[in-house]
Amino acid sequence: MKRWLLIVAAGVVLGLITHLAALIALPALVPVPVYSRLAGHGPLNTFFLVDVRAQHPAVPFLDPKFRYAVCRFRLGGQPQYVHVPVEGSYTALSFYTPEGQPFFALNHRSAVDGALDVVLRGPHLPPAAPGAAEQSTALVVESPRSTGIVLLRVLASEPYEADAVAGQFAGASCDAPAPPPAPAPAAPQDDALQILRMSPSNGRGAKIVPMPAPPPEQR
Amino acid sequence: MRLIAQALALFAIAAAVGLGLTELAVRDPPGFADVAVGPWVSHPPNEAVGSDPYFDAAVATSGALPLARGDGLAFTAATDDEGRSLDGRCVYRIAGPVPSARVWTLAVHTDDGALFANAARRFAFAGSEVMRDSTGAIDVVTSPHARPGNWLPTGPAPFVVKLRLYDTTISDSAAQLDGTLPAIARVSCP
Repeated sequence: MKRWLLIVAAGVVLGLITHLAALIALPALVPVPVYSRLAGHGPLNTFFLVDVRAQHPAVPFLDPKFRYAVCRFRLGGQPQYVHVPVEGSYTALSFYTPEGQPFFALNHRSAVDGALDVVLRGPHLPPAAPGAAEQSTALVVESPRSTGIVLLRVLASEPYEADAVAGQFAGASCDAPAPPPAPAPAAPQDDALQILRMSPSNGRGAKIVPMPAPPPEQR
Repeated sequence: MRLIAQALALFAIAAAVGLGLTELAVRDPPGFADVAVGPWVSHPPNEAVGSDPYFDAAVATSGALPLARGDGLAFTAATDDEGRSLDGRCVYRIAGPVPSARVWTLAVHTDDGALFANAARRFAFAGSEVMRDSTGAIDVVTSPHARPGNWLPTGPAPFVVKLRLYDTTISDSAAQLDGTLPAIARVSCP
Protein backbone atom coordinates (compact mmCIF):
# COMPACT_ATOMS: atom_id res chain seq x y z
CA MET A 1 0.00 0.00 0.00
CA LYS A 2 2.78 2.34 0.99
CA ARG A 3 4.57 1.52 -2.23
CA TRP A 4 1.51 2.42 -4.31
CA LEU A 5 1.15 5.75 -2.49
CA LEU A 6 4.76 6.44 -3.38
CA ILE A 7 4.06 5.59 -7.03
CA VAL A 8 1.07 7.96 -7.10
CA ALA A 9 3.13 10.77 -5.54
CA ALA A 10 5.97 10.17 -8.01
CA GLY A 11 3.43 10.11 -10.86
CA VAL A 12 2.00 13.47 -9.81
CA VAL A 13 5.49 15.03 -9.59
CA LEU A 14 6.42 13.60 -12.98
CA GLY A 15 3.06 14.87 -14.28
CA LEU A 16 3.83 18.43 -13.15
CA ILE A 17 7.18 18.27 -14.93
CA THR A 18 5.42 16.93 -18.04
CA HIS A 19 2.90 19.79 -17.77
CA LEU A 20 5.60 22.45 -17.71
CA ALA A 21 7.52 20.83 -20.57
CA ALA A 22 4.33 20.49 -22.66
CA LEU A 23 3.38 24.11 -21.95
CA ILE A 24 6.76 25.46 -23.01
CA ALA A 25 6.81 23.28 -26.13
CA LEU A 26 3.19 23.98 -27.05
CA PRO A 27 3.62 27.24 -29.05
CA ALA A 28 6.02 25.41 -31.38
CA LEU A 29 3.71 22.40 -31.63
CA VAL A 30 0.47 24.18 -32.60
CA PRO A 31 -0.53 22.43 -35.87
CA VAL A 32 -1.43 25.63 -37.74
CA PRO A 33 0.01 28.71 -36.02
CA VAL A 34 -1.23 32.12 -37.10
CA TYR A 35 1.86 32.53 -39.34
CA SER A 36 0.96 29.42 -41.36
CA ARG A 37 -2.74 30.25 -41.41
CA LEU A 38 -2.00 33.65 -42.95
CA ALA A 39 0.03 31.97 -45.71
CA GLY A 40 -3.16 31.27 -47.62
CA HIS A 41 -4.12 34.95 -47.62
CA GLY A 42 -1.12 36.63 -49.24
CA PRO A 43 2.51 36.33 -50.33
CA LEU A 44 5.58 36.45 -48.11
CA ASN A 45 7.24 39.79 -47.29
CA THR A 46 4.26 41.74 -48.62
CA PHE A 47 1.49 43.61 -46.82
CA PHE A 48 -1.97 42.25 -47.62
CA LEU A 49 -5.35 43.24 -46.24
CA VAL A 50 -7.13 41.27 -43.54
CA ASP A 51 -10.91 41.58 -43.50
CA VAL A 52 -11.78 42.06 -39.86
CA ARG A 53 -15.50 41.81 -40.67
CA ALA A 54 -15.33 38.42 -42.41
CA GLN A 55 -17.56 35.70 -41.01
CA HIS A 56 -14.46 33.66 -40.21
CA PRO A 57 -11.67 36.22 -39.91
CA ALA A 58 -8.09 35.11 -40.62
CA VAL A 59 -7.13 36.56 -37.23
CA PRO A 60 -9.75 36.49 -34.44
CA PHE A 61 -10.43 39.35 -32.04
CA LEU A 62 -9.20 42.18 -34.25
CA ASP A 63 -10.66 45.58 -33.42
CA PRO A 64 -13.46 46.34 -35.94
CA LYS A 65 -12.76 50.08 -35.69
CA PHE A 66 -9.42 49.55 -37.44
CA ARG A 67 -8.35 48.44 -40.89
CA TYR A 68 -5.52 45.92 -40.98
CA ALA A 69 -2.74 44.83 -43.27
CA VAL A 70 -0.48 41.94 -42.39
CA CYS A 71 2.98 40.96 -43.59
CA ARG A 72 4.57 37.58 -42.96
CA PHE A 73 8.28 38.15 -42.96
CA ARG A 74 11.19 35.78 -43.38
CA LEU A 75 14.51 37.42 -42.70
CA GLY A 76 17.48 36.37 -44.80
CA GLY A 77 21.05 37.37 -44.21
CA GLN A 78 20.21 41.04 -44.53
CA PRO A 79 18.02 43.39 -42.49
CA GLN A 80 14.58 44.05 -43.92
CA TYR A 81 13.08 47.53 -44.21
CA VAL A 82 9.47 48.24 -43.34
CA HIS A 83 8.03 51.52 -44.60
CA VAL A 84 4.56 52.84 -43.81
CA PRO A 85 3.33 56.31 -44.78
CA VAL A 86 1.47 58.07 -41.97
CA GLU A 87 -1.49 60.36 -42.52
CA GLY A 88 -4.02 61.79 -40.09
CA SER A 89 -5.40 58.64 -38.50
CA TYR A 90 -3.94 56.69 -35.62
CA THR A 91 -1.48 54.27 -37.21
CA ALA A 92 0.51 51.54 -35.49
CA LEU A 93 2.91 48.77 -36.40
CA SER A 94 3.14 45.68 -34.19
CA PHE A 95 5.64 42.85 -34.53
CA TYR A 96 4.91 39.23 -33.57
CA THR A 97 6.60 35.85 -33.49
CA PRO A 98 5.08 33.19 -35.83
CA GLU A 99 2.95 32.01 -32.89
CA GLY A 100 1.50 35.47 -32.27
CA GLN A 101 3.54 36.65 -29.29
CA PRO A 102 4.12 40.40 -29.55
CA PHE A 103 7.69 41.61 -29.23
CA PHE A 104 7.53 45.24 -30.29
CA ALA A 105 5.11 47.98 -31.33
CA LEU A 106 5.23 51.62 -32.30
CA ASN A 107 2.68 54.14 -33.46
CA HIS A 108 2.54 57.25 -35.63
CA ARG A 109 4.10 59.37 -32.89
CA SER A 110 7.40 57.76 -33.90
CA ALA A 111 6.99 58.83 -37.53
CA VAL A 112 9.70 60.90 -39.19
CA ASP A 113 8.94 62.88 -42.36
CA GLY A 114 5.44 61.43 -42.53
CA ALA A 115 6.45 57.79 -42.41
CA LEU A 116 7.26 54.97 -40.05
CA ASP A 117 10.55 53.37 -41.10
CA VAL A 118 11.82 50.26 -39.35
CA VAL A 119 14.91 48.17 -39.95
CA LEU A 120 14.00 44.61 -39.00
CA ARG A 121 17.03 42.56 -38.04
CA GLY A 122 17.16 38.82 -37.50
CA PRO A 123 18.50 37.17 -34.34
CA HIS A 124 21.74 35.93 -35.87
CA LEU A 125 22.83 38.95 -37.86
CA PRO A 126 26.22 40.41 -36.96
CA PRO A 127 26.07 43.80 -35.27
CA ALA A 128 25.60 46.78 -37.56
CA ALA A 129 28.69 48.75 -38.55
CA PRO A 130 29.61 51.46 -36.03
CA GLY A 131 27.78 54.65 -36.82
CA ALA A 132 25.36 52.95 -39.21
CA ALA A 133 22.39 53.59 -36.96
CA GLU A 134 23.21 57.28 -36.78
CA GLN A 135 23.20 57.43 -40.60
CA SER A 136 19.56 56.39 -40.81
CA THR A 137 16.33 57.75 -39.42
CA ALA A 138 14.85 54.24 -39.27
CA LEU A 139 14.18 52.52 -35.97
CA VAL A 140 16.09 49.26 -35.52
CA VAL A 141 13.97 46.36 -34.27
CA GLU A 142 15.59 43.05 -33.47
CA SER A 143 13.33 40.08 -34.08
CA PRO A 144 13.83 37.12 -31.71
CA ARG A 145 13.09 34.80 -34.65
CA SER A 146 13.95 34.80 -38.34
CA THR A 147 10.25 34.61 -39.24
CA GLY A 148 7.29 36.52 -37.89
CA ILE A 149 4.40 38.83 -38.57
CA VAL A 150 4.07 42.60 -38.93
CA LEU A 151 0.58 43.93 -38.26
CA LEU A 152 -0.30 47.38 -39.59
CA ARG A 153 -3.41 48.91 -38.05
CA VAL A 154 -5.02 52.20 -39.02
CA LEU A 155 -8.01 53.70 -37.24
CA ALA A 156 -10.94 54.11 -39.63
CA SER A 157 -13.99 54.76 -37.50
CA GLU A 158 -15.87 56.53 -40.29
CA PRO A 159 -16.62 55.14 -43.78
CA TYR A 160 -15.23 58.28 -45.47
CA GLU A 161 -11.80 57.48 -44.01
CA ALA A 162 -11.59 54.27 -46.05
CA ASP A 163 -9.98 55.94 -49.09
CA ALA A 164 -7.22 57.55 -47.03
CA VAL A 165 -6.53 54.23 -45.33
CA ALA A 166 -6.41 52.43 -48.68
CA GLY A 167 -3.83 54.99 -49.83
CA GLN A 168 -1.76 54.34 -46.73
CA PHE A 169 -1.88 50.59 -47.28
CA ALA A 170 -0.96 51.01 -50.95
CA GLY A 171 2.15 52.96 -49.94
CA ALA A 172 3.21 50.50 -47.23
CA SER A 173 6.03 48.10 -47.90
CA CYS A 174 7.31 45.22 -45.83
CA ASP A 175 10.48 44.72 -47.85
CA ALA A 176 11.29 48.26 -48.92
CA PRO A 177 14.59 49.45 -50.41
CA ALA A 178 17.06 50.67 -47.79
CA PRO A 179 16.07 54.15 -46.62
CA PRO A 180 18.43 56.96 -47.63
CA PRO A 181 20.84 58.09 -44.93
CA ALA A 182 19.86 61.13 -42.94
CA PRO A 183 21.66 64.42 -43.66
CA ALA A 184 24.96 64.69 -41.84
CA PRO A 185 24.69 66.59 -38.56
CA ALA A 186 25.99 70.14 -38.69
CA ALA A 187 27.31 70.11 -35.14
CA PRO A 188 29.65 67.66 -33.44
CA GLN A 189 27.76 64.80 -31.83
CA ASP A 190 29.33 65.63 -28.46
CA ASP A 191 27.59 68.96 -28.31
CA ALA A 192 24.45 67.97 -30.11
CA LEU A 193 21.14 67.72 -28.39
CA GLN A 194 20.14 64.08 -28.63
CA ILE A 195 16.45 63.80 -29.27
CA LEU A 196 15.16 60.33 -28.70
CA ARG A 197 12.28 59.75 -31.03
CA MET A 198 11.14 56.43 -29.66
CA SER A 199 7.72 56.39 -28.05
CA PRO A 200 7.97 56.06 -24.28
CA SER A 201 5.51 53.20 -24.47
CA ASN A 202 7.77 51.21 -26.75
CA GLY A 203 9.18 48.10 -25.24
CA ARG A 204 11.77 45.48 -25.64
CA GLY A 205 13.87 44.50 -28.58
CA ALA A 206 14.46 47.95 -29.99
CA LYS A 207 17.38 50.27 -30.09
CA ILE A 208 16.86 53.96 -29.58
CA VAL A 209 18.15 55.77 -32.61
CA PRO A 210 19.11 59.38 -32.06
CA MET A 211 17.87 61.90 -34.57
CA PRO A 212 20.39 64.02 -36.42
CA ALA A 213 21.42 67.01 -34.34
CA PRO A 214 19.88 70.38 -35.24
CA PRO A 215 22.21 72.99 -36.74
CA PRO A 216 23.88 75.35 -34.27
CA GLU A 217 21.92 78.45 -33.47
CA GLN A 218 22.92 81.58 -35.43
CA ARG A 219 24.06 84.40 -33.20
CA MET B 1 5.60 -8.46 -13.66
CA ARG B 2 4.68 -6.41 -10.65
CA LEU B 3 7.46 -3.97 -11.41
CA ILE B 4 6.17 -3.46 -14.94
CA ALA B 5 2.66 -2.80 -13.63
CA GLN B 6 4.00 -0.21 -11.19
CA ALA B 7 6.05 1.51 -13.91
CA LEU B 8 3.03 1.60 -16.21
CA ALA B 9 0.92 3.07 -13.41
CA LEU B 10 3.56 5.72 -12.73
CA PHE B 11 3.70 6.83 -16.38
CA ALA B 12 -0.08 6.70 -16.76
CA ILE B 13 -0.52 9.01 -13.75
CA ALA B 14 2.21 11.34 -15.03
CA ALA B 15 0.66 11.52 -18.50
CA ALA B 16 -2.85 12.08 -17.15
CA VAL B 17 -1.74 14.83 -14.73
CA GLY B 18 0.69 16.52 -17.15
CA LEU B 19 -1.40 16.52 -20.30
CA GLY B 20 -4.65 17.08 -18.42
CA LEU B 21 -3.30 20.19 -16.73
CA THR B 22 -1.95 21.44 -20.06
CA GLU B 23 -5.32 20.95 -21.74
CA LEU B 24 -7.02 22.82 -18.90
CA ALA B 25 -4.46 25.63 -19.02
CA VAL B 26 -4.99 26.14 -22.74
CA ARG B 27 -8.77 25.98 -22.58
CA ASP B 28 -9.06 28.23 -19.54
CA PRO B 29 -5.72 29.99 -18.94
CA PRO B 30 -5.05 30.49 -15.23
CA GLY B 31 -3.94 34.08 -15.86
CA PHE B 32 -1.40 34.38 -13.06
CA ALA B 33 -0.34 37.79 -14.40
CA ASP B 34 -3.86 38.98 -15.23
CA VAL B 35 -5.31 42.18 -13.81
CA ALA B 36 -8.99 41.80 -12.88
CA VAL B 37 -11.23 44.78 -12.13
CA GLY B 38 -14.88 43.80 -11.74
CA PRO B 39 -15.78 41.77 -14.85
CA TRP B 40 -12.83 43.21 -16.80
CA VAL B 41 -9.65 41.18 -17.20
CA SER B 42 -6.44 42.32 -18.83
CA HIS B 43 -3.15 40.60 -19.42
CA PRO B 44 -0.64 43.45 -19.30
CA PRO B 45 1.45 42.85 -22.41
CA ASN B 46 4.71 43.88 -20.81
CA GLU B 47 6.34 40.50 -20.53
CA ALA B 48 9.18 39.39 -22.75
CA VAL B 49 8.51 36.56 -25.19
CA GLY B 50 8.82 33.29 -23.29
CA SER B 51 8.49 34.77 -19.82
CA ASP B 52 4.89 33.62 -19.30
CA PRO B 53 4.41 30.14 -20.80
CA TYR B 54 0.70 30.11 -19.92
CA PHE B 55 0.10 33.35 -21.85
CA ASP B 56 2.29 32.22 -24.76
CA ALA B 57 0.49 28.86 -25.01
CA ALA B 58 -2.95 30.51 -24.86
CA VAL B 59 -1.98 33.03 -27.57
CA ALA B 60 -0.48 30.36 -29.83
CA THR B 61 -3.55 28.14 -29.68
CA SER B 62 -6.02 31.02 -30.08
CA GLY B 63 -4.45 32.26 -33.33
CA ALA B 64 -4.95 35.87 -32.18
CA LEU B 65 -2.48 38.76 -32.40
CA PRO B 66 -2.89 40.51 -29.02
CA LEU B 67 -1.96 44.10 -28.31
CA ALA B 68 1.73 44.64 -27.61
CA ARG B 69 3.06 46.86 -24.86
CA GLY B 70 3.60 49.73 -27.26
CA ASP B 71 0.02 49.42 -28.52
CA GLY B 72 -1.82 49.83 -25.24
CA LEU B 73 -4.02 47.80 -22.95
CA ALA B 74 -7.00 45.58 -23.75
CA PHE B 75 -9.66 44.63 -21.22
CA THR B 76 -11.99 41.71 -21.85
CA ALA B 77 -15.28 41.03 -20.09
CA ALA B 78 -16.94 37.65 -20.54
CA THR B 79 -19.34 38.13 -17.63
CA ASP B 80 -21.53 40.86 -16.20
CA ASP B 81 -20.89 42.48 -12.81
CA GLU B 82 -22.62 39.56 -11.07
CA GLY B 83 -20.41 36.97 -12.72
CA ARG B 84 -23.00 35.61 -15.18
CA SER B 85 -21.67 34.78 -18.65
CA LEU B 86 -22.63 37.34 -21.29
CA ASP B 87 -25.46 36.01 -23.46
CA GLY B 88 -26.18 37.70 -26.78
CA ARG B 89 -29.92 37.16 -26.38
CA CYS B 90 -29.96 39.42 -23.31
CA VAL B 91 -29.77 43.20 -22.96
CA TYR B 92 -26.81 44.68 -21.07
CA ARG B 93 -25.94 48.22 -20.07
CA ILE B 94 -22.26 49.18 -20.08
CA ALA B 95 -22.05 52.44 -18.20
CA GLY B 96 -19.40 54.44 -16.42
CA PRO B 97 -16.01 56.05 -16.93
CA VAL B 98 -13.33 55.04 -19.43
CA PRO B 99 -9.62 55.55 -18.62
CA SER B 100 -7.78 58.14 -20.65
CA ALA B 101 -6.10 57.02 -23.86
CA ARG B 102 -5.20 58.58 -27.19
CA VAL B 103 -7.79 56.30 -28.80
CA TRP B 104 -10.17 53.84 -27.22
CA THR B 105 -12.76 51.47 -28.63
CA LEU B 106 -15.51 49.30 -27.17
CA ALA B 107 -16.42 46.23 -29.25
CA VAL B 108 -18.49 43.07 -28.95
CA HIS B 109 -17.14 39.78 -30.31
CA THR B 110 -18.50 36.27 -30.39
CA ASP B 111 -16.53 34.06 -28.03
CA ASP B 112 -14.48 32.70 -30.95
CA GLY B 113 -13.38 36.19 -32.01
CA ALA B 114 -15.76 36.92 -34.89
CA LEU B 115 -18.33 39.73 -35.09
CA PHE B 116 -22.12 39.65 -34.93
CA ALA B 117 -23.38 40.28 -38.47
CA ASN B 118 -25.99 43.04 -38.42
CA ALA B 119 -27.79 45.27 -40.92
CA ALA B 120 -26.45 48.43 -39.28
CA ARG B 121 -22.86 47.15 -39.75
CA ARG B 122 -22.15 48.35 -36.25
CA PHE B 123 -19.62 46.32 -34.32
CA ALA B 124 -17.95 48.79 -31.98
CA PHE B 125 -17.76 52.38 -30.81
CA ALA B 126 -14.69 54.56 -30.81
CA GLY B 127 -14.26 57.13 -28.06
CA SER B 128 -14.67 59.93 -30.60
CA GLU B 129 -18.16 58.86 -31.69
CA VAL B 130 -19.89 57.57 -28.59
CA MET B 131 -22.37 59.84 -26.81
CA ARG B 132 -21.41 60.66 -23.21
CA ASP B 133 -23.01 62.40 -20.28
CA SER B 134 -21.76 65.63 -18.71
CA THR B 135 -19.21 63.76 -16.57
CA GLY B 136 -17.71 62.04 -19.62
CA ALA B 137 -19.15 58.66 -18.68
CA ILE B 138 -20.43 56.36 -21.41
CA ASP B 139 -23.75 54.57 -21.53
CA VAL B 140 -23.82 51.78 -24.11
CA VAL B 141 -26.47 49.10 -24.52
CA THR B 142 -25.84 45.70 -26.11
CA SER B 143 -28.97 44.01 -27.39
CA PRO B 144 -30.08 41.72 -30.24
CA HIS B 145 -32.78 44.28 -31.09
CA ALA B 146 -32.35 47.94 -32.10
CA ARG B 147 -32.25 50.40 -29.21
CA PRO B 148 -32.05 54.19 -29.10
CA GLY B 149 -28.73 55.79 -28.17
CA ASN B 150 -25.42 53.96 -28.08
CA TRP B 151 -26.52 50.52 -29.25
CA LEU B 152 -24.20 47.62 -30.08
CA PRO B 153 -26.01 44.72 -31.78
CA THR B 154 -25.51 41.16 -30.53
CA GLY B 155 -26.92 37.79 -31.61
CA PRO B 156 -28.07 34.51 -30.08
CA ALA B 157 -24.67 33.36 -28.85
CA PRO B 158 -22.27 33.91 -25.96
CA PHE B 159 -20.12 36.99 -26.42
CA VAL B 160 -17.33 39.06 -24.92
CA VAL B 161 -16.84 42.82 -24.66
CA LYS B 162 -13.41 44.27 -25.44
CA LEU B 163 -12.35 47.69 -24.20
CA ARG B 164 -9.11 48.62 -25.91
CA LEU B 165 -7.05 51.60 -24.81
CA TYR B 166 -4.47 52.60 -27.43
CA ASP B 167 -1.39 54.59 -26.55
CA THR B 168 -2.39 54.92 -22.92
CA THR B 169 -0.27 55.84 -19.95
CA ILE B 170 -2.61 54.42 -17.31
CA SER B 171 -1.27 52.04 -14.72
CA ASP B 172 -2.06 48.35 -15.13
CA SER B 173 -2.39 47.78 -11.39
CA ALA B 174 -5.81 46.59 -10.27
CA ALA B 175 -5.84 48.94 -7.27
CA GLN B 176 -5.36 52.02 -9.44
CA LEU B 177 -7.80 50.85 -12.10
CA ASP B 178 -10.58 50.23 -9.58
CA GLY B 179 -13.50 52.54 -10.33
CA THR B 180 -12.10 53.68 -13.68
CA LEU B 181 -13.83 51.08 -15.85
CA PRO B 182 -17.53 50.92 -16.79
CA ALA B 183 -19.95 48.55 -15.07
CA ILE B 184 -21.77 45.83 -17.01
CA ALA B 185 -25.33 45.23 -15.79
CA ARG B 186 -27.86 42.79 -17.19
CA VAL B 187 -31.06 44.69 -17.96
CA SER B 188 -33.26 41.90 -19.22
CA CYS B 189 -33.10 38.37 -20.55
CA PRO B 190 -35.72 36.39 -22.49
